[in-house]
Amino acid sequence: MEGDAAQLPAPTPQRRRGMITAPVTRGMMTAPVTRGEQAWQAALGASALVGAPLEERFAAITGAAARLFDVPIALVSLVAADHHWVESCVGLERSEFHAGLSFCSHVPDHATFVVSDTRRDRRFSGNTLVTGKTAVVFCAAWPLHGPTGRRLGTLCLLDRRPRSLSAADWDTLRDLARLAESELAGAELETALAGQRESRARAEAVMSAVPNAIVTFGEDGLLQSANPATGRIFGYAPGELLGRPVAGLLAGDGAAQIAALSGGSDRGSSPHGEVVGARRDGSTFPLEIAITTSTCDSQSLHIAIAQDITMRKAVQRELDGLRRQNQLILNSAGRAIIGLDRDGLITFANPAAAELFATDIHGLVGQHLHARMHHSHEDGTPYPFEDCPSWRTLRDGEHHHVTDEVFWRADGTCFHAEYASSPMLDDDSVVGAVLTLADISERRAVERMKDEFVSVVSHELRTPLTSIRGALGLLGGGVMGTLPGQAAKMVDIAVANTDRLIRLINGILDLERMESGHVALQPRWNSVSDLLQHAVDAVRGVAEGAAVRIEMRPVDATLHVDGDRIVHALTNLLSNAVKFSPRGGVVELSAVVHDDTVLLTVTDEGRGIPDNMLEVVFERFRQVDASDSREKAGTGLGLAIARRIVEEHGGRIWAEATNGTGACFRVALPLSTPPDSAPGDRRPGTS
Amino acid sequence: MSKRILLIDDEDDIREIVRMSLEHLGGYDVAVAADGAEGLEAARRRPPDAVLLDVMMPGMDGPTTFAKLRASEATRGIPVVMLTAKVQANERQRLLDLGVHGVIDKPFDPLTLPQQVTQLLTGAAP
Repeated sequence: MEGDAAQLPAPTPQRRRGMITAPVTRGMMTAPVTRGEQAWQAALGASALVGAPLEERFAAITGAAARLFDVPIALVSLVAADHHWVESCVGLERSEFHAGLSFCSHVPDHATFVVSDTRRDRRFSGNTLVTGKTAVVFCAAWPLHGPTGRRLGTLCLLDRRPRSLSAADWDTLRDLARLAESELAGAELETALAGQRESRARAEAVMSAVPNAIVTFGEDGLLQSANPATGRIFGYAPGELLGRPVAGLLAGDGAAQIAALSGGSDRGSSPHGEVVGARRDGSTFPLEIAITTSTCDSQSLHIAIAQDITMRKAVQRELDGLRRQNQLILNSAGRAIIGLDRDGLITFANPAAAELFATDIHGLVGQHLHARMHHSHEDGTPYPFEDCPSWRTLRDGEHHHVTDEVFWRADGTCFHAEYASSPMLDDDSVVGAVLTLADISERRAVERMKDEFVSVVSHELRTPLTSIRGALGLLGGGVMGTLPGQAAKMVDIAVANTDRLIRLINGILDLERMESGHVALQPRWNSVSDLLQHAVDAVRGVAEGAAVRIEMRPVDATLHVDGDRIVHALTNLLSNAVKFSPRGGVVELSAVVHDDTVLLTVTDEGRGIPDNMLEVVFERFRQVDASDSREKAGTGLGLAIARRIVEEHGGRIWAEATNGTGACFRVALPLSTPPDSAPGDRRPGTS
Repeated sequence: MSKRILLIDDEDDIREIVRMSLEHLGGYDVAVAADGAEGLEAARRRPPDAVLLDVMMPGMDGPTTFAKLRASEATRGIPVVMLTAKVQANERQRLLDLGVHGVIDKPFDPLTLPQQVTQLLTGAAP
């Protein structure tokens, strides 16, 4: 064995970095498994102990161990993050590292380890260092621990001959192990310091990056640190702030303000407030500041974090202004304004709305408008939300205008309202609705009074008019004897104007009846040619008197209309055309079927209607020329009545521009059959 | 022999005009009454060939007077034409539904009134 040992090359300290790593399998007979480079990198990263200087120090220890114990192989292995590796070794080829490591894996955490003859130990029967040319026979090892007692590695001696260690040898091995442990402890301290440096650098990076001013100051109120943002915000150069009083950063009595804010922080809260900051140049600005206090080495350390809120204040002012303005508009609006969310719950209401519903605004907000205030019709029948225009606005974003519906108050009373429902849109999606309501109870009362007034007055006018018209008629008709020429002419004038006055009263009554809805339509099937013929017959006398010819071009079609009313409308159009026709002129009344409508047209050869008057002529008492009502003996109501009648039938009536070639009025009436035709009301030509 | 018409109307002027129109232009013989009660009495005393009856009269109005005429055996068969200045909806139809022979609106043309009355009275019975 000696000879064998002598044949080995002299042990040379080798600085070798362990390249083999394996899971810790303490007590196992098989050698640790080689994991490869990736696992090694993981273990290396997990251990802060590994570094070039440490490797050199361990190389000195393994070299000394080999010489002191006269062994060919000495190694230090380390363990961290459940992996261990050879940190320093003399006497082994790199390819043998993993086999050397396997000896370490058998070393207990808190006891020495010795195998006098590995050949007789079954734990090493498969170890290539034992069975191979290296022929390791002896192994002695001392576990390495950190300052806290944590196992950090193993110092291991291997020899090719069986041997034992004396108590003095064990002491020496222990001393070498202590040396290795102190090297490890030093390495740990370095690592801790490096970590602290890194953490400090990180904190400084954060301090530099934040936009807020961050300063620290002591009990004396002098600044101990300030981040770069502090200099930027307050207008100081870097480093210029240190040692200055923190109170100088505030306008007015800064010290008192700082004291007030710092005082609260002693109670564990982090008080903050708005103060006025003072820049180096004396200018001031709004500042939000929070101060916390902590204790450092039994000294109080105040940390102040401050933010320039000039921009925020400006935005806030603008928002406040807008909010006030909106509030003023809402409060001043005479109409009730109510906002709904997507579900129909009231989100806001103005004072007019509260007044309308006889409650306060808080009594409205949060309520479901339809369920609480719009749930029933006036007769008490339910009004489903799905039928309510506001629901359609919320669902489809439609605008709706309702002229008269009943709303309910909490006390069970109701009122008639006109309202509009409009969607609130955000990025084209409906987020709610706004309803504007007006109580129309007064308007309805006034309309009722007007209706009665018109009715009574008209009746009271008719009675004396009957006498006047009758007396004049008898006089003019020669019943009292033939009148002298001039007298007969005067009586004729009186008769004509009485008739005009009667027509006027009749017109007013007709319109009043239609607008108040007092007269329901009586639709029947009527042939278009009959309707046209009746209208022409009605004005034939007037037309002949004015030497105007009426031409009629009917069409073969039937309409489901109130015949008397349609004839009334056509008569008004025809008599209007006759009135404005020159003597010898032609008035044409024609009909054509166009798609699903019958289009009726009345044209004349009069002076026509200026473009800007095409719509105005349908208004009551509005004529192209103010003198027309006198010259043409018109009432100023004929076209208004005609429009009303046509619209009652779901049709349209309008005047068209003709470039001065006479007037052209058109009436479009729907051909479609209404679903609720009266019983026995059969379409002509059907059985 | 001229047909005899009883006119019942509370307005003096209108009674006079109607009387002149019907007598001078229509050749009728006209008796007049100033209210419903007087008219009923006149009709019972001497039943006319027809009655012209105003709708709105103080006391007994036209429809009530008409009902009483129909209720009495002596006057039941006398044709009645109503004169109305009322403007309520469907007034004409309401009156026709009572069973009157016809309705003439006020104001009317006195020159064509006799012709209107004659047409209504000689037309189809209700």
